Amino acid sequence: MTDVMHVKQLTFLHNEKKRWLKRPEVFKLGPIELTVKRGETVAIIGENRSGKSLLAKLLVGAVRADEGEIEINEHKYLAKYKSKDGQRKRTHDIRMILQHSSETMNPSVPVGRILDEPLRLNTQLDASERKEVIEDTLVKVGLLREHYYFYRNMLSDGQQQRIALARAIMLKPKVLVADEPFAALDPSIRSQTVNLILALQQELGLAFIFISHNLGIVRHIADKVIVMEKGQIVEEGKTETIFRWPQHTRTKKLVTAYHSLVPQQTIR
Amino acid sequence: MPQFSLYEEEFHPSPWQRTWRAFRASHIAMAGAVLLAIFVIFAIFAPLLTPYGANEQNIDGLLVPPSWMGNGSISHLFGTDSLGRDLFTRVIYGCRITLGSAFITVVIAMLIGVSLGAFAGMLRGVRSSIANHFPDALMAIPTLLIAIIIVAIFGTGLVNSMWAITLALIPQFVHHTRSLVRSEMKKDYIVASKLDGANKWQLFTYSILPNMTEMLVVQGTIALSIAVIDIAALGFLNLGAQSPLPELGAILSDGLDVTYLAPWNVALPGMTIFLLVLSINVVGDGLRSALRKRVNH
Repeated sequence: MTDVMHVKQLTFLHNEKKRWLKRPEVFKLGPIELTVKRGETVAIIGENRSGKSLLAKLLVGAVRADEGEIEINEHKYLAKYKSKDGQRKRTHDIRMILQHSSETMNPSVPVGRILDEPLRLNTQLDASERKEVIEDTLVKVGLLREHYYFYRNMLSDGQQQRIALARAIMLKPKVLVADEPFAALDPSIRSQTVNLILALQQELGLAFIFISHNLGIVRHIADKVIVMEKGQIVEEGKTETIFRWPQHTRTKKLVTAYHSLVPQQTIR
Repeated sequence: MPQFSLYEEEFHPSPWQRTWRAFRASHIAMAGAVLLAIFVIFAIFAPLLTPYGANEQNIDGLLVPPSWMGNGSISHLFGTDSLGRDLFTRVIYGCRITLGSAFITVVIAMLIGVSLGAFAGMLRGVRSSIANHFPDALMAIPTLLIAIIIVAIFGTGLVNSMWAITLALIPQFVHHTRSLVRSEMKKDYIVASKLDGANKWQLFTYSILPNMTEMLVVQGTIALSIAVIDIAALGFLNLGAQSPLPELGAILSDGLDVTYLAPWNVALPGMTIFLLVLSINVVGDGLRSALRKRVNH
């Protein structure tokens, strides 16, 4: 297995100076060091406001970092990008599923045109070729070709999630970043989606970084777990290691909370 | 995962077909649409539909009552005015001038207002504030008052009053467009499009513009009814269209001199203005709910 992504010294500083009638707010993330292997599944866990979503956004370039470097397949990107171009090159290799998939779909644009956008902006394909790719991808994520003409309001939450997934894998990325992709789904759809992502991961060989509060899923699919607290990575390691021998207090709390929910025989 | 492959449905209704279906479902909206369509047909085919010329005088028949009254005649459907001009002809030409000039006015105001508003909405900081709050200040003054001031400066006449109303209508388009663009820019699908690599222009045309149709229809119809009333009002006050020109407000003010002798000279043009504005508003309302249904149901 080769490394597909290196993150070096990724730092983000949110510093709002004290203003009239407003308390100063300081949040520092990082510096973060992270290596992701090809086809690896990495889970980011941690409490709320620990900077998980921010880290995900920094990785894909939705938020501009203050310091640091991201390397994907020998391409180096400054996380503190200036021009739009740096970001555009990156869209090919790293794609993101945002937290609320229903809000990431434009309500007055049909699915086909939503999925058309990444292709139109990033590839040289003509309209009919693009439509073919979109239909293939729709089938790949378990939808029908007809969904090309559907609007957001005609789709269920699970289908919207699939559209978000289709949009993410449309450009055949190397790394997929997902922010709580399974949170809003009911158990059966959730396991369907998990299986779908695992299947796609095998097929395309993509590395999958996801944020989750559901430690059951994390334990089930992740190869590596990162625990975050207050903008720092406090522990990282193989999933089983983390779950059996948690070192940091935060990890211990999370893992005990998880174990108290599941029957005893899984702990031993 | 569904492994079956159903064959694709042949026909997918386009967004406009969906809107039309939702629109047709509302009877009141359809009634308004039919009424408006009649006015539009009158406006476009006025010379073909009218029995007389707009300023053609019939000296033998001054103040002939409408045809449904006892001493009226069928040769003058709505009767004649104090100069013996056929009122039906004048009302139809009035629809043409009032509705037509209102429409042109609104289209120009919309083009300028929406582009300014979009500009203000996509920008940030001082430039955005100036582009927004300067027209906002103008919104505090009623459009008719602004129009009267502008007409007072540039002089009377239909074209001057049209320019005046255009200028008076622009601020509300700027304001609504800017606030809509601002709120849309904060939404998650804009982030998603940005991650696809869209620049500002692409964001605007592909992501925000489709969401603007509802606002454009609502504001457009409101502006159209305001423009119709304002043009008629300026004509009535002798500030806009001048007397021989068959403009509904001017016809009304001509008729005012002979109200007691020939009340139909005031009632019929007034009724026409009322129905025109009513049908525009009803159609706008129906279109708005149809467009909303397209997105929400």
